[in-house]
Amino acid sequence: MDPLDLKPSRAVNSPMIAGIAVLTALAVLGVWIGYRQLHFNPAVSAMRIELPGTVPALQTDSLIFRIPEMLVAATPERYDAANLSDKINGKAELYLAAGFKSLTARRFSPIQLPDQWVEAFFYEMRDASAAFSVYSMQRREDAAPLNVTRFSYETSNALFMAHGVYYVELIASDVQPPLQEAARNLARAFVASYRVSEKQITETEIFPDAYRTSDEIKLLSAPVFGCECLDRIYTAFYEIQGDRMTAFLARQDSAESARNLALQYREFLMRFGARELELNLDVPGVHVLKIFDVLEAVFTRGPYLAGVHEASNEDRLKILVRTLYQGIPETGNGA
Amino acid sequence: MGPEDLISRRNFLARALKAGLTGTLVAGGGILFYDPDGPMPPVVQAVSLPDFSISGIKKQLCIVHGPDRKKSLRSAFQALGGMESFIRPKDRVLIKVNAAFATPPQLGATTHPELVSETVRMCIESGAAYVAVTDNPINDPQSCFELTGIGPAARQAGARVILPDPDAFAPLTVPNARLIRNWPVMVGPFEGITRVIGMAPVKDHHRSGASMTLKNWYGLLGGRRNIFHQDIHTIIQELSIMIRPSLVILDGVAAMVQNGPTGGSFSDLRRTDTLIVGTDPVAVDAVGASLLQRSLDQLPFLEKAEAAGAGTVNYESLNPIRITAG
Repeated sequence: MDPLDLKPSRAVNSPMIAGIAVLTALAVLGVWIGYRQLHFNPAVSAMRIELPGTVPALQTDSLIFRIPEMLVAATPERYDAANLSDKINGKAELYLAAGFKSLTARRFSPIQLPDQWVEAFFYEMRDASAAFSVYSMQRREDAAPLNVTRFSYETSNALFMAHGVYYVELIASDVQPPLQEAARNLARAFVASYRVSEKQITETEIFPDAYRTSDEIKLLSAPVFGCECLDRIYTAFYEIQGDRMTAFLARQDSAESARNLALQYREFLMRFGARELELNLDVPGVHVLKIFDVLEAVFTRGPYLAGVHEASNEDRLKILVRTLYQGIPETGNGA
Repeated sequence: MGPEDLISRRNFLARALKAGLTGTLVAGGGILFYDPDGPMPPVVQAVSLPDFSISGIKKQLCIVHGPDRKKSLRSAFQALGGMESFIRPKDRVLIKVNAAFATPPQLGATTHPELVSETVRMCIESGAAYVAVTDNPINDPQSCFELTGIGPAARQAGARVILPDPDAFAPLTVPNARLIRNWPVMVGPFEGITRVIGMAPVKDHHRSGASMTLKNWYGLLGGRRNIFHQDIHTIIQELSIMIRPSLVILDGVAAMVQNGPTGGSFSDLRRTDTLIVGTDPVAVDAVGASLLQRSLDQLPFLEKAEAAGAGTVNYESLNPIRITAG
């Protein structure tokens, strides 16, 4: 080869090609090692001891709001979806299914009862309806309503409320008036510190008052009534002439979505042996089905899916279906 | 670059060959030293738990009605032939409690300290050389043991309280299990133990339907055990064969009938005034299910545990002793 011949040749290009090949091989090796590093045997990663408090700072960090005559008994503990079960064990799934974002927990003690405490659980949920969902699903039957927020109640040792995207539990260590008063003060201080939009959850306003057995309305996550297709469904309990039944309601994105969901639920019931009944009901498009000696009804009005679950008498089912239908606004804009 | 810097074809090929060999050696070394199992923790001696069930005695069950836990416990063991029928002199006893939450005992989410202290005393009265109380609450074990009252009660009665620490865990595989395979389990407190007592309250449970003595062993699992909640009945079945206790004590004096396993409100509890003591955990839990008014269909883990050979759901077949305590 003439050393002065500087024209490109195979000999000059070869090192570059070989270099690229080696670098490519190394890059592939690096990617492969990186991939394997990220896919450990879960039993290995499970050996890590993880302590609470590793979740990044949350909005509820500023839980240092001033509460008269209360001592802060412990530093705040923070949990996210990955470690919520460390704090509440098997209850975590209820929150995760409903749209959990974070939990901040902290114990407070009244000055006059330093050995007792109120443990506050501030759950931040995806939205207000998710907060209402976990509030409603755990509602205690003997609860005494409170006016701290629109959705709030207390029992002999605890106070529970939904406030915007927050679901709050204030659990006292004993039944004592100063502890219950401390819980109320904490609740009021939280509400004052965390202003939320007053946007209403329309479904809770629509359920008719007539025949309703309590003010208890629940927002259930899938599977509702055993059907995976039913998710985020509001329910309320009714009793007509001694027959108890459940009304349900859920706003969908559009009237078409609501109709499709009604058909899916009808098909679900048919798959399990339901047969459709022809009842004289002045509710357009209603499906009434009989399954295992109980009656189910499902219909739509605008974007709302609605119905009656587990009625035992046709006439009383008709009464509730008509009452429910008439309560749904024609425009579908809510109450 | 001058002409003298240019390399010859021979030189280039030699260098390329060396570079290729170097790359191959590095990659080959990587493959050679690659450990598909990843880093494992140091293995402690125990990789499976011994069978602590008491051989030579038939399965026994006692159902005591009464509001006083201590009296009920004493009455139960008296009816079963005394604690000395189960705990021999020089025995080393481990009591596995439920201390999962840092909540006061009256909320019923954890083992009641009165039962802990009385059981510890009775074991010592029977001649036990050593009694320890343990659990693995992931959330701040120190607070859990103190605020539940279990820690002070156990210590005052003469037991040692063992809190979880990383050295207490070892990977354990339950034979024929699908979930507990090479999983970290708190085996440290079992070292040198001759008798194991499980002690749990009757509780509703959001995932499994109920948490009683079988579910209580879940507390021995380490790591990110919450993934097992997705297959809760299978994990309880596997726990039922992972550990064979000497006896179990189920506290149904105030059952948590809703919003379990945490509860929080006294209104989540219902007085059922029942204490169950037995050597068959499945039978004991089957009695507990009746306190919660749950059927076997609602608690599939019971029949799964029976199928695995951990006991019988037909507790009447054990001819339970039924008594009322003062």
